[in-house]
Amino acid sequence: MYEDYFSIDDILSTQERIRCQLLVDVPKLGFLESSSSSSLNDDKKDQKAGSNLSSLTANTKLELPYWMVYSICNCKTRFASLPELPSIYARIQRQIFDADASVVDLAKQAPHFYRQGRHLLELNFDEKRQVATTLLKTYQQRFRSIMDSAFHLVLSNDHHHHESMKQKTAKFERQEKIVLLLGQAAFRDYDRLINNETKQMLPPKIQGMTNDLTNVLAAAINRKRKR
Amino acid sequence: MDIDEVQYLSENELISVIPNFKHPEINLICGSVGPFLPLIPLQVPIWMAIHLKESHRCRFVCPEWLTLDSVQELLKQEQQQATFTSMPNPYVFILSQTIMNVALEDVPNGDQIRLLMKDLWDLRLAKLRSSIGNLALSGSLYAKVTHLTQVEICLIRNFLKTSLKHIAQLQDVVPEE
Repeated sequence: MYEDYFSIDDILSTQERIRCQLLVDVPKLGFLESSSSSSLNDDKKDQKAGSNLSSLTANTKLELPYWMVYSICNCKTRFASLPELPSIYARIQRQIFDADASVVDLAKQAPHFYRQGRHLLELNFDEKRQVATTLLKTYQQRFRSIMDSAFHLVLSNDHHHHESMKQKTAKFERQEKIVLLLGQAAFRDYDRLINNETKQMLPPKIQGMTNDLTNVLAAAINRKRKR
Repeated sequence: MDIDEVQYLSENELISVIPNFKHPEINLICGSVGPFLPLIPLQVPIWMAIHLKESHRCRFVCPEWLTLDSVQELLKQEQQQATFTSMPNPYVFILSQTIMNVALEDVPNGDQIRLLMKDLWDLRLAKLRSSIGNLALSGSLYAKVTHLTQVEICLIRNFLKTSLKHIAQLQDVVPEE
């Protein structure tokens, strides 16, 4: 599932907090509860004296980052369960995606919609299949508008055009933006070709050759020509 | 392969030129060229033709596919067919560009041909877009597209590759019934 250990997108998308419910009592981890989360920033001494020694009882609802939820929900003795999905994957939102996926402002509501969704599907919950199909359908439906933006919005540089492009692409989620940029880069390359701005092919540089040496060589070649 | 490399490769295609000088055969890695005799047309690689033209040592013979009639014919076929039609040369769009930049006076009706080529390009781009859209929407594993030119492939390669990867990743996580 993880693309790469250091993939910044993976790190960011697993950072999102997910609501889960404890199934067992957990002693001494009271500071995990969001109401006392400020104590995390305090001194350690303060924490020892304070709320962190209190225990969490079963059935407490917590908001934990995904990477932690994954570990405690998927191990042998289950410590927690997932009573509800994050709102963007919930049933009501899925119906909105079904109606028209292209109007949803994913950049604002879930900047890592697809990646986060794929991570989420590693957990166990009832509506897995529906969530997965919604992810796929949403991408396919929104693909058309990504492609149109990629193909059309590069050609001019004026300010007005730039603004309208910003408006159109503002709703794109992170992965969609990457695809958009790739498409636009190709068209910018083509424009360079049309305008005769393609780069000149240069002979490969010889590894380890210092600048002085190249100059000496060039001078030698010039001298030869003069003869 | 980016567009610079496509352009580089395109200049290896052959074109007829009429030299105005005399020179024995030149042996190159890609093959021998020549001998050059004044007013006798011969085939040379385009990069050499460009160089000769810029030093006023030759005249281009307009390739058969770059005449007004043949370009009009191409455009007509492209309009009639729903799928892509075959192009006379895999680098047709780059080469017409190159030739008309270097030797516009050797191409009869050059300006008109330029406009027609632009129409042809736009038409093919529209077809390309609709076929990519259908492919992504259908979720099928592959699509067979023939007669694409090198520039067009180059234009959509990264874009299509990445978006198909995303779709495949999302298809992977749909649980089996």
